[in-house]
Amino acid sequence: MPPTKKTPRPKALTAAHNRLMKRLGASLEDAAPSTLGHGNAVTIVCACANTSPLNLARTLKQLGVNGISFQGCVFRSVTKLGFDIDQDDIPDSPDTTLSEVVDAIEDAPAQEQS
Amino acid sequence: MRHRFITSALVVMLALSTWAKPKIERIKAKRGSSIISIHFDNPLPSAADVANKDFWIVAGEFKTGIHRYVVSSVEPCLSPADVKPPDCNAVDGYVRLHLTENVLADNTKIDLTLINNTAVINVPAFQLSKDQSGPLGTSKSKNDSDVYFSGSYTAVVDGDPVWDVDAFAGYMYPLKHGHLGKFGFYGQARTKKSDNADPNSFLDYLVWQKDIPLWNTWLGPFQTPFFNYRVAGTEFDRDGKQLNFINSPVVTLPLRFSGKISDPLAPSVTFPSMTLQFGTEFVKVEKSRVLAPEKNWYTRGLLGATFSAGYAPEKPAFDSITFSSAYQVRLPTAGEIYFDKRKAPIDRKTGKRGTTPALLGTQARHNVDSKISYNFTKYLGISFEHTYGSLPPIFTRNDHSFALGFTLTLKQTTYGRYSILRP
Repeated sequence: MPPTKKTPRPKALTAAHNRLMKRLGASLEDAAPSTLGHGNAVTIVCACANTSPLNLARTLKQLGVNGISFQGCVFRSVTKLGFDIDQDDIPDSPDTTLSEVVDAIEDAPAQEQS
Repeated sequence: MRHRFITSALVVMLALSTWAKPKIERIKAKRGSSIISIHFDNPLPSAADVANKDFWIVAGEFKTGIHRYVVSSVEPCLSPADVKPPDCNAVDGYVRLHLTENVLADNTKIDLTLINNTAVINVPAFQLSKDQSGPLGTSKSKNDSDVYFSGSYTAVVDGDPVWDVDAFAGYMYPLKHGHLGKFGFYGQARTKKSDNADPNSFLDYLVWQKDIPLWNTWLGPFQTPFFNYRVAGTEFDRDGKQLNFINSPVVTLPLRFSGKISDPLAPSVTFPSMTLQFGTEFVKVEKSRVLAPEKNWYTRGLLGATFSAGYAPEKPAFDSITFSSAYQVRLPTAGEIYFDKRKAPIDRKTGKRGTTPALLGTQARHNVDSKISYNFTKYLGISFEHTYGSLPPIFTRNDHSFALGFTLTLKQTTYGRYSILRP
């Protein structure tokens, strides 16, 4: 089978594509969320507890989750997504339910661009 | 005939489970917002049971009366069919009630009642938090301090009573919002199988703690490990005749006896979990009871493990039963003090052992502490504890000892105890 040649993209099409991407980028920036949001919070908390959202009502102790590692995981995940939170604002006690952690982080504000 | 009976029983059980009332786990609301979020416990109700606006009666209480709210719509997040971006995951287990108006600023409580075709559920009135933006319910805030006390007293027939006291206090402060870990202090007083309640082992430390993200979230059954560096600490006994300075890095690796828990976990289950610890203790003897070389440094290898599991049906007179165990071994590289009753000289006339002498040795120092607690209520119960081994600084060897006593359990606020003090 002969090697396929990469067909050059017409300049006009590339420019149009770039314009479109720029517009999309602009619109995405406009729509950038100001807070972490419930959906992201649930995803992070469940990933850090290695469980499904069906167990949001369970405590860290019930799920056999270590609070220190869990708190570190949630903290890293939230800040990596570009939101601000103090590590101590993330509850990590054995009697904390996952939904309480969701409550604590879902309103984390977006990091200020320097 | 028997098969028919079993089939009938199964059918009845299935029918009962479908009739189970939806259980509301918690509620969130804010003054000035028209949304009330209601989280359900497993098994989650179907949307048909809760997602009708006419099923809900909502009232706000204020000092001079009540205000009835009207629910305009119900937004369910109960099953994959409900998934709508951006704020509803596959199965989040909650519904949002959209009210026709915002919760009034002078409301202090919210009353909720759900009346569907099969059940009437009234939720006790929830206090709105003083913070205007705060969520309704029992949200926990910062848990950066930790105080713990546990004790038991056992009367012994024809012998001295046995005291067991274990108390500690600590505080951790996040450095640069937590990006640089946490720094804090912990102190612990301990006596074990003593004929009086005076503590005989004191430990205090300055600690730096940081998680080590070797992997992102979980690696099979392992969570990410974390590092505890007891930067400076002291170990001393009751009369201060033995005083050691300690510098100790320890890595802790938590694990759970399962990878991902995908299915709903019954509320009564506490999933078994463990931690493994690996570290060293650099010890400088400041003052010694025996002719040990003072002002010299030596090292103890330190290995440890903790285990915990439980079952909590939360029924009258049977709230929970929990099992926890901690093991640690210290391996000194130089002669270190210890007391062993078996080495006490025997009086030839009476046949009784005399005072236990302080000795030096490099043997491994094991310590095991296992406890089964049966709680009648959430905070009160009895515990059965087994201990073996010895603890720094004077390593008084306890043979296998068993203690039975009443236990008062306080709500645990942090993991400090198990992460830092054991070991």
